[in-house]
Amino acid sequence: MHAGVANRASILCFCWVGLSGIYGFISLDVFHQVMPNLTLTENVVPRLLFNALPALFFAFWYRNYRHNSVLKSYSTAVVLPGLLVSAAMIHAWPIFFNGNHEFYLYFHATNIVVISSVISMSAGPPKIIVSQIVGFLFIFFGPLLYLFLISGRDSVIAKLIFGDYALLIAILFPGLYTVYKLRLKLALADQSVKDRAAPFLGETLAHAIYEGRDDILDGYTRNGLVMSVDIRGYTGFMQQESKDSAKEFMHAYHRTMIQTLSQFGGYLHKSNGDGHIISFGVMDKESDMSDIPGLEGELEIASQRRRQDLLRSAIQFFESMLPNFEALKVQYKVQSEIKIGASVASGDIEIIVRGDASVRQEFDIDGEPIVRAARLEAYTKLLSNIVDSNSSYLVISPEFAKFLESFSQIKMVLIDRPEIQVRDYPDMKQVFYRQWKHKRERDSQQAA
Amino acid sequence: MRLRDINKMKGKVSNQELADLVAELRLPLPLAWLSKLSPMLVVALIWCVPVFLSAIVLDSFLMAESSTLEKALVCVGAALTFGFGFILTAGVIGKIFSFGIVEGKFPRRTDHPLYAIRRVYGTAWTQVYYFKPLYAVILAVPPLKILTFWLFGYKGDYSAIFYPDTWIRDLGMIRAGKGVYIANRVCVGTNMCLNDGSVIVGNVTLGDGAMVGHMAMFALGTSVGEKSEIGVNTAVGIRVTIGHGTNIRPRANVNHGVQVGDNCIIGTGAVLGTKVEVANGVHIKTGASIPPGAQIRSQEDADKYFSSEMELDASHKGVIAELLKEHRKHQGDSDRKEA
Repeated sequence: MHAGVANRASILCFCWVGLSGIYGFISLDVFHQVMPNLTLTENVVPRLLFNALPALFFAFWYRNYRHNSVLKSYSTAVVLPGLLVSAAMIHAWPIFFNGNHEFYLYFHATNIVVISSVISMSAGPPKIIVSQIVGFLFIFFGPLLYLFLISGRDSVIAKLIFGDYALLIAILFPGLYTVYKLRLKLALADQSVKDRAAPFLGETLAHAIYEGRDDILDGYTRNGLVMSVDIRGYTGFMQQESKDSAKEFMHAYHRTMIQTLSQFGGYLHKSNGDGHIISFGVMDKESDMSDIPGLEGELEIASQRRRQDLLRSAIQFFESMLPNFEALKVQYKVQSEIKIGASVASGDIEIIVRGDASVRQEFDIDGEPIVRAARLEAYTKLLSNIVDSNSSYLVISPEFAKFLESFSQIKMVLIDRPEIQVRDYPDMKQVFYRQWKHKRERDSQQAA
Repeated sequence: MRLRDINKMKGKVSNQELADLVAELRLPLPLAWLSKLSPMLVVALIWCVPVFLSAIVLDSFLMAESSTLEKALVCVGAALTFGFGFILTAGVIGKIFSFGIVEGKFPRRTDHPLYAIRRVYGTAWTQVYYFKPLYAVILAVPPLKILTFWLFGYKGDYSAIFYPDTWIRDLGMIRAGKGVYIANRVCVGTNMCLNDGSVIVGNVTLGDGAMVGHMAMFALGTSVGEKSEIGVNTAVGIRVTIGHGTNIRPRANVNHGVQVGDNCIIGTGAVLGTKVEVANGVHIKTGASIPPGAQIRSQEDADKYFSSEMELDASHKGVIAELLKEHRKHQGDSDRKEA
């Protein structure tokens, strides 16, 4: 607020510098009526020295508006009237004080316009407006009023000044106050909309929309990891459980998933009932180093390690979700045999904005790895049948093979017959998985 | 294709593809020849104009009958005229050619339009920069600093402190915030010559209150957040992002493309490999060596990597023995499964 006033004061002072010079030329004819021997130089040079230079000094001082902004904003109540006084002191006020009071009438309207423009353009909060009005009254009009009042003969001019200035305050202050309230309301409304939208849009999309980040909204492709998560036995769960308890359980499950995901750097792109598409490393900023020669080897090493670390984050996330999921089942007294299963795949993933700008657009994710992750997630059902039905599985796509040495308990399925093939991927000869055995139900109930 | 059209493709193609397009631009032959001669012309202009101006002052005011004091004052006036003339001549040339100081990668060829412009700008700036007595006065006198930096296209805050031996070049590429302190012998590398015969130029951004220690160096595309500190003798690579309130301790080595979050501490002598990502609030221990591409999401992730603070005592050796046993068992399980 105060920084804004100081910033605008800087602009006003810069304008004043230019206007001081121009006024020296255009006011010559006016002053010639009282001072016929006044030369152009005598009118311009003093204005440059005593108006323009101080204005330039203050312009630079206010320019650094973030520093001492409160002091600077309140100082406009003295500085701006002071600049007007310094302009008036060149020929004009000496003429008035020498007895030629009627000459003031040439400048009265200009003064009112300048003062109202300056206060309007400062556009400060009410306290600043009031202080500026008071400043102009005492610093600029005060001496004039005193002069005309004590003169007695020109009390009409005094009444004119007093009346017009009172009119100025009566119109200016309410008007500026209303404008200030409107600006404040708009700013708060804008912030409120942004705050309300952010949880729905996510931090990245909210930032992109509100900061005008077209580089994000235009879409991009990034190498990352995508995870497909699903609840095994969901259909049976929805049929067996009551509508209300199923709804509450799913609300809690979604909330827990989002909270757990945020700890491991994942991003939830979409949810469809019991299924979720999550990415790791796709929404992260990444610098393009393709134009730096000699880094190719190191960038390749960095890329490999990044994928390894993203896989680790994904596994840790799933491992954290498992006990949370079981705890929710106990909390909401879920009778159905439901478990979560997931899969991970990596590759080039596209972040795009889909849809029609005039109807609806969606910030979406696309790419072959998503299809692969979905097919591999469906493979968890097969694993339940052929390995152990009382376990949760995380299926890992084959491209992670070279990283799996550093992970424990990773097992492999050799796909040597059609019935255990991954759907739509007949060329996939092996998949990896990690298994988490659940305690038997009898033991769980005894524990509960 | 014109430069304007190429710039519209930023963000849509890779940096190298953009650079390949920019490399195809060429000056017409007469301008290319002029570009070869431009540094000599610029140097001649920058030195001759102030000498001429100060000669005018001496000629106009230095009289044989003047007193010693008057002669001394005239000489001082001539020296001041020379100084102002030097700054203004170099600065005007810098101002005119500062439009060519843009981000990107382009070949170091005199017939390349962007490089030709950079040569003129660079010549004008280095004449001022390497004129150390004058440059020291410029930095010490705020109005002179504002004038000189403004002429050379500086867009940051004028309260930022630079020492006379702080290396800065493309002033339009430096975005220093309020109260930034850059110590002496720091290298602010807004440009870098590459071994493929090209030069690459980028912004360096320093947030309000950031501090950079003695003999630190950072490369183009680097962004340092508010109130962050870069320790002495630290090397920061290309396109590194450092968050707010982060402390990079002395002699750390932050490689290209690293992203460090807010309120982190990177320990003394630590090495962050290419494209490492460090999340907010993480402390990388003294002497730690984080390999390229590592994603440090938590303190736990950071503590996995060896650092000089890691003391291997008997209990650690026991842990390592257990890990090896577990690994051997896992290897055995995997082999049996495959079989």
